[in-house]
Amino acid sequence: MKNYRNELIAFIRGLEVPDAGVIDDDTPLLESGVLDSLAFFQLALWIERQIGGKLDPATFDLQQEWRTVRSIVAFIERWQTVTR
Amino acid sequence: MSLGYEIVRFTPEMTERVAALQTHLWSPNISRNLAYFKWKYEQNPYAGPPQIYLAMLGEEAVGMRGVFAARWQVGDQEFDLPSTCDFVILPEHRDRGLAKRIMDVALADVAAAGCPFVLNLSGSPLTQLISLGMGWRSLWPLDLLGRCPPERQLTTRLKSAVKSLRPVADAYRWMRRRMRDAWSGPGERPFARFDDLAAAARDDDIRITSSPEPDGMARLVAQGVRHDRIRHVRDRAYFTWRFLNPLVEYRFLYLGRPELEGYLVLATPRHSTGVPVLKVADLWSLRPETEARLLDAVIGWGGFDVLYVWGATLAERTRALLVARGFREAEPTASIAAPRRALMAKALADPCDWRVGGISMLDMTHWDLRMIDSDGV
Repeated sequence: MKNYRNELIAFIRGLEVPDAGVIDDDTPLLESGVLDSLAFFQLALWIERQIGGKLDPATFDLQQEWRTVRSIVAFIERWQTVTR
Repeated sequence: MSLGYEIVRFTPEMTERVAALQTHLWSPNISRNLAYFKWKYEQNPYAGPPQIYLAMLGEEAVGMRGVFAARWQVGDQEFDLPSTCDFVILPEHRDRGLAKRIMDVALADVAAAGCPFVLNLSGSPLTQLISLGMGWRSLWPLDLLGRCPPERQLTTRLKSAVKSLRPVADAYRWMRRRMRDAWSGPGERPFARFDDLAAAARDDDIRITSSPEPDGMARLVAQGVRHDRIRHVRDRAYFTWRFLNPLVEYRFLYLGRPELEGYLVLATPRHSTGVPVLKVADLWSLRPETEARLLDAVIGWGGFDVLYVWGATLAERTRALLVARGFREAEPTASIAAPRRALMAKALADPCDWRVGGISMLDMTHWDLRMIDSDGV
């Protein structure tokens, strides 16, 4: 199975945000300011690509589901399970 | 990650800086931006001092967000329910945490003023996404319906596809603003074709003007208003001020003499180029046949590329009328890059019951919402 956690952290570090080095599984990505608007938007597009289809951001609790690396990975894996 | 930025509240000496910042959003023309600022923040009958929050780096304003004052009501109970708007951060200052910092200060002020909620009816896809990430709620989609002549459908689809590609969309918007500025002048008339076609149609029952009739409109609304709905205050003062927006041009269609029986308001950006995209900013009548007559006039005359209306809180009969006349969902699918336009709200109190005037905001049928309620029209 794909290691979404490692790929997600690598993707965030690839965004070259200033504090990417201190991100752990439970860092609140948006609330902490680690990701600003554009970086978060790029992350959202990345998540959508992992899902493999269009994602309506109004249909789930985005603040909770995409709050940390841990919650994002769980979100993606849940979607993969549902759509498989 | 402060990097020397400071979030400050607007003072009158900052007006020029706001106008300059907003060359990235409102228009590339500072004079027009100053006029728009005056209308939106100083002449607004529901506003106190302008509520604008700026990110400063030394003396330079590098970002801002505004709060658009608005007064709503349920029955006879009126209350302030403002909208956030006018979000800009200069490109070289993005990705530094400023969006959240500005919003936190703005929302703290709105909460301190006693407003339990703040709305957003005009957020870009980026703003919608970030807002959701910061605890805003997408209450329900605005159900954008659109109609274009058959020969324009392919062009419209191509434009939508291009716009969904963000870098291309940014370049497109920049170029369109520059073209607007280059093309604007005494000869520019965004309603030119519509006006010519309407004049040629010679409908003696429908009056068309470029200005509102505040007294007649307010009297008409008072007769047919749904008191059990959350709706914007629509009195004489509102109608006198609302359509003075200097960035938008309007056309008013009136039916009924001597008393007004119905009206329809069309809106389009004042400095648009090419055949315009028109919006049904407002539509009001006491009878279905009046509504149909007004819509049929606009559709029949043409002179537009696409005609849009929000379908979310329309009466069933009106929605059926629009569908019968070729209106279709303009946003049948949603994605991260192209979310559906939605009524977004942020609760400023915890816990929150999502009620105003005693009724739930979460039920779309409890609202009477029109495009003219958005600060973007």
